[in-house]
Amino acid sequence: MINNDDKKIKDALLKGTDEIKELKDSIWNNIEKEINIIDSERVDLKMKTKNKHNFLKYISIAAALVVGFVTLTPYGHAAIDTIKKIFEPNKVVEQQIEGTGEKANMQLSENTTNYIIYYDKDMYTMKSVDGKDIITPINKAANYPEVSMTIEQIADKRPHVIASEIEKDIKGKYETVENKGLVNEPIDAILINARAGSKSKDPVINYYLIENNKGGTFKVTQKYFVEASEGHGSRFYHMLKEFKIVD
Amino acid sequence: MEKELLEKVKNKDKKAFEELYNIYSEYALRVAFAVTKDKSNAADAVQETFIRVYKYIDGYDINKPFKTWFYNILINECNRVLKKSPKVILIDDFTSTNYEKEVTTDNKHEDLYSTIENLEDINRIPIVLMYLEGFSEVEISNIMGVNINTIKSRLYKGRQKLKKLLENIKRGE
Repeated sequence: MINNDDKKIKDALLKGTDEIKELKDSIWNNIEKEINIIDSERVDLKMKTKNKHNFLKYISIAAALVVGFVTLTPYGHAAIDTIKKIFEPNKVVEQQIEGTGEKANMQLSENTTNYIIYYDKDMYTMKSVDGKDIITPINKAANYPEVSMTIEQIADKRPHVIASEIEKDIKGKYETVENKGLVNEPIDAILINARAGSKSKDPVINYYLIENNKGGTFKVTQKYFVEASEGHGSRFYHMLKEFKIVD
Repeated sequence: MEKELLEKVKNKDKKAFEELYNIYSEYALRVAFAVTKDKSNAADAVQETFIRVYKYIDGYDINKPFKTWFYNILINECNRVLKKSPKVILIDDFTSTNYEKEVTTDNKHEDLYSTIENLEDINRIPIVLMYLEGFSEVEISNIMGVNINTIKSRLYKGRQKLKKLLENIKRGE
């Protein structure tokens, strides 16, 4: 395309988007209010302020209070029912597996601390080892790389600190290591993706680093291989979509 | 110069953050509007982008280009608001995808813009980033997290459609 046409496209884009400029000041006013809230939260992490996106945080706090109540009082069973009502025990999740839509019946995790997640108990099992929760397939294919999703909480390091440690640690061990920065899907997190190659059995690893709202991080490590990207990879993605912090 | 400003923002200097907003907001708004095709969605995406920048600037590597990091967040935010929005197809939108229609000189800007608006997201977003913000194919590939060859092909297809309209405009002149 010749330069003159490029100029016409640019001009059309500038003219077509001109009207949005008028919102600049009002948006700044909203941002200023939000950053003042962020700063006050930094000063006192215990002071939770109202945030339009954090409705779930309050549900989680309510759930955590109920958990405390359950362990300390004789009204346990009734309270457990309340929690089950807050977080449904089963959830039908629509997911794309190998390019086709599939409905999976997922169950609420049990015995996890400070978070909840849903996973398909017909296909996966979850166990705790050294403070880490590990989800692995029930049927493991022989001679294939590891398939797992590990969730752990690191109390004293923020996501970006862990991200640079991981990058340093795995650089050279994988053909590609990419820090994708902040992502919104399947969850708000810093994502680091590493691949050992592009052959079907080459390992793939995703690290999702999620703020735990207390100056620490939930580190979620997904391991699978290229051929399983649209199978286990996609299932792990949808499981992580249902991850919620209970704090 | 910008590095100095970003260092101040990292230290939570609000004046510096406002300066950063004044530098980046106009084009961020234009890009978000061209991507989401809706003023309130664009405003939402830009607002959230700057809040995320303020919250997560600690994680930004000062030796890497800020603009790419910023637009990566912005495009993610645009995608988030697009997913939230109900899918509505307007009859007007549908009819304006007809690239072969006669175009007069008076409305050529509007028609070219509506053709850009009616490109599929995968073609429109790289076109918007390239023409509004002057990003290279490599930068667009980094912002969108998509392979460079895929970006080249998406840009090519988008441009082909626009070229067709521009040829019609020339014939009408």
